Amino acid sequence: MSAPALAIEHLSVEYATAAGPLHALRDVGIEVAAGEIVGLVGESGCGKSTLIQAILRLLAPNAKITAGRMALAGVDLIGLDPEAMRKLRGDRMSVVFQDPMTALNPVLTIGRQMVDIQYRRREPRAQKRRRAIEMLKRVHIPDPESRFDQYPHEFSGGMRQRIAIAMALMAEPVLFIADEPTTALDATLEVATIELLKALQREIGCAILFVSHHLGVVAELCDRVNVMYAGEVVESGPVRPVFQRPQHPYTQRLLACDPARVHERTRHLPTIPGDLPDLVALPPGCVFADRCPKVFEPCRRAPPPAVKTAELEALRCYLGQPAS
Amino acid sequence: MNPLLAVENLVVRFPVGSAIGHYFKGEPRSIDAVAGVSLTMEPGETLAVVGESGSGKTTLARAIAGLIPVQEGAVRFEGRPVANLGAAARKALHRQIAMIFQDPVGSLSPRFSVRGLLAEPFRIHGLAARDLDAEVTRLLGLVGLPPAIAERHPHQLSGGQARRVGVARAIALSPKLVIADEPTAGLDVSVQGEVLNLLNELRERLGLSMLIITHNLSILRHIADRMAIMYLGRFVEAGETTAIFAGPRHPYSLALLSANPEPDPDARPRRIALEGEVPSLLARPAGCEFHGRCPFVQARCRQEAPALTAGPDGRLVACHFPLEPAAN
Repeated sequence: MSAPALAIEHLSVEYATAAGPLHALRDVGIEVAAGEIVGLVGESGCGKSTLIQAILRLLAPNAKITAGRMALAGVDLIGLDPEAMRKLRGDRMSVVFQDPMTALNPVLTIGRQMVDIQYRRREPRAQKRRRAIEMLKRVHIPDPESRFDQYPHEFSGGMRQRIAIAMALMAEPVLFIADEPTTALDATLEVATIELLKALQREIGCAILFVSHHLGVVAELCDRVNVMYAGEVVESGPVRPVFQRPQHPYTQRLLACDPARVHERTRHLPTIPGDLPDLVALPPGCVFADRCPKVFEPCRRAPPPAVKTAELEALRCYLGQPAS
Repeated sequence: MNPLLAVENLVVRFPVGSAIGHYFKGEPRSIDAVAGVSLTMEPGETLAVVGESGSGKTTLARAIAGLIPVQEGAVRFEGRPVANLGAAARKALHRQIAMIFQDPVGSLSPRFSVRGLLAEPFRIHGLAARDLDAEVTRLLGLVGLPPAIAERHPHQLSGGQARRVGVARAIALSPKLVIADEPTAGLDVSVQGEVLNLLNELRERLGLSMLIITHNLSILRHIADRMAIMYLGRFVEAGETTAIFAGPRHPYSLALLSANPEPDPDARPRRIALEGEVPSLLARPAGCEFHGRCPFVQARCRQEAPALTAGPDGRLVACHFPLEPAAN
């Protein structure tokens, strides 16, 4: 069996702050098998961005990986020197961010940028141009030959995001990280982008780590999903059990809050009262205890360990039943 | 009796391009961001205007609030014209029509404390003689924030708290109409419900009318009595929210309603795929402006623009071949 595209085990990241170390990620484990689409959901402050920066090894200077292992297709990422890491980024792993305008250089034509990004290939320019046009066709840019020499501002927001996706996939990476790629797009374009990602994934066969706070999009696109809260993966598993029979009280509340799930028209929508815990002075027990409707005595004593259950790969809750 | 708000054939035009482009290439000098919109609102009612980026919904909201000049048509608030007012009249109007802006943190001045931000409307309208501390405490109580938050600055607030401060500012002078532009944009799902519940509660307690501008269909179902769907500066469908969700009649409404992924991997929505991109306002298509993307397009749609006409149930639809209400 080949190594997974991405394997993260027991990863912890801290930020040095004036108040002391801020424990942004704690004991995070995520696996993305080759050719799989895995979702990462969570709200502001859950550590999604820190995790992506850690995978790309682009953490802020005051951040430090304090524990854990990360491997890309079997290659250890934490031990790599900056030069080796630079060779991986954009070649073996690539990323698309929320705002497509910031990913493209506004003063260069998209054709120039798509040829430049192939600088690793020792090929004639004409061949690189052909490959770029081919890629634009694949992401449904109409009339790619004539639009090749246009500037980013001449494209709509949806097209710009598709061009960014085309550029990220041109090197046929092992792992493609999509960080909220559809958040800035309209509903009809969002659906079209999901369809496109599915099709490209089938053709190119790369693994996708899809980060989003839009639960509906993750449910539709992903094979498996990881739910993060306050720096921990609280629940992970295939999309069906997680979305249909969530076990962690946070996942349950989060899904209940999604207005798309509340089918009856209501004047009173569900919410999750309370605030995130202080990540500098962590509570002694479960990080969700203060907001949890099912909190009981053990939750206040020690953090619940991640256990494997019959349906889930990991669940951090004392109410979970470990697989026998 | 006059309705609270009446908008008739409103047109908001923006100048674009250059004289050279106009004379030598035949490019238009202006675009109609809002191209003939009519609507009325009664006291206590919530109306939502939905549309995608560039559909003109924010421009419509700003024109109704009297914030931008209007080229054609009329906006009347309690029978009096709103558009193109002088400074003094506009100031008086803003005690009646308040606006909640899109960016919760960005719309608050970073140099003010929450106390200063909440006292500002009273100062602007010459009401500083009131007990401002008491007003600030009252407003914070109304939006469910602790009094201690008055000393914080915008950057020390969470997204949800900043949004509540924006709501408190809007209701400070007891307006009759509140216009909320994307009230939940940028908020987490668990916080989004809090803000909507707050708006609903204030609407009932203070008897407000609300005009909600949004692209989020899931939220408006729970908050709006009526809704209007906007495309390229015009309404394509308008009516009761529950009726439109039960059976959209314009193909664009159907596409929009079906493009709303549900958090259930087994939900397989009957989805209609739209082809192509949203046309540019600089080159509006002939005939029905939706024909290039419509899956049900027919010959007549390419030549003749459909008018927004009312069906027997009062639903307004701009389509030559409106969809039949679902059989179930």
